[in-house]
Amino acid sequence: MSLLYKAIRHFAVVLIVIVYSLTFGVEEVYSNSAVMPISIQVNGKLIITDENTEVDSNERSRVVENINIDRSKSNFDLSNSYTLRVRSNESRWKLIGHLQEVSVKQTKKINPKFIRLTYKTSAGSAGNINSAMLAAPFTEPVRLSNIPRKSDFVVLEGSSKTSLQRDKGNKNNWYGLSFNVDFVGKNGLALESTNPIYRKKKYNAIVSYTLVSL
Amino acid sequence: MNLQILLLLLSFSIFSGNQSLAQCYSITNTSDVTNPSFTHTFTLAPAIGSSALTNMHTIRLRTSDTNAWKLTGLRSAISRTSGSGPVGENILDTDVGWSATITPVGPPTGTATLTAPFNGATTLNSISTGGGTVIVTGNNRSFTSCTNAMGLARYWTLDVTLSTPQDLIFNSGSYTGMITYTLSN
Repeated sequence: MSLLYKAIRHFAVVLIVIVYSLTFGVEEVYSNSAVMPISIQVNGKLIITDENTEVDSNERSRVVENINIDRSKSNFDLSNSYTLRVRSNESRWKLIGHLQEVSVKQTKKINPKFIRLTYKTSAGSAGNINSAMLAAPFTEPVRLSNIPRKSDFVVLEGSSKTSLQRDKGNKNNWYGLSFNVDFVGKNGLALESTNPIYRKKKYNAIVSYTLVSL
Repeated sequence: MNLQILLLLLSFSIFSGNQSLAQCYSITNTSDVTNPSFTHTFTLAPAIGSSALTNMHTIRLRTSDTNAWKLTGLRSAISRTSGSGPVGENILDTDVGWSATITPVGPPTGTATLTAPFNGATTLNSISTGGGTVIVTGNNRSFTSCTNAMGLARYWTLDVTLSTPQDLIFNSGSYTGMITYTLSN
């Protein structure tokens, strides 16, 4: 009986100590960490702009160039050039053109075989000039008569992204394509715009360009 | 009687412990939920002139430690989990900006300060991938308790903002990383 009493007394004392410790002495909460996973998704992006309007973030998948040659005007200027810019983080892409002639009376129409289209490529300071190549036959000046009217044609074949270095605002990581129109004779030599062959004649066309990933 | 003394000492040792274990170090979200987890999510949509994407999360720091304490960060490097392309054109830790502000609320008893370079704009690579990097130091407790009503009312708010530019040079795909913050003495 005495042993049982002692055991109960020991147990009671220990229990009191435990309760006291839990109430007054033990750590309240250990919750000393926070985790912040980071998840970033980068999607493919194609941007095509014309050189003059991209300052307004004029971002499109298609641009249009009008070829308007009117020899009836006395102040005719043949500086008919245009530059578009391509930006892509895709590794394979194409720039596709489509030529649509605007109707002109046949007697006043300049034969497209006397109009020559020349493409040139360039790149911004953070752009990669090797990210694309001109597709045949545009590696050389091409007479408009040799460009298909009823189907699309490939102008650029892109083989990598247009960026060569980090450019936070994507201001200078472009690949440029400019084209120029001039006149050419049957012999393949350039003609002056004042040549009588063009007198009082017109040629109008719309060339649209679409950027696609592959 | 010897057994009683032994049990008493043992009980006190187990449940009271030494004094340093009695300090609380608590990180919660703004709803005072402990050990919070926040995901910094970014979906890049590059455009001309596009600004950096930002993503902010807030945590609350509480401690009853009357001595110096610290908040450390541990980083798992950003890694690409899908997509392809040159490694140098992945999003790197140097591309992800890190900035924070710390604000006392309550106010807490002590003072907490962001350490350099975390007291200004920096990038993720300022946080170590092995061993913690001290981000915040404190010189005294927020309150005697981290959990009672008075203790809950006194803390430091840490607003952490991550940012990433929407650069077209980054390879398409998914990227993941992790930062773990720990409050300790």
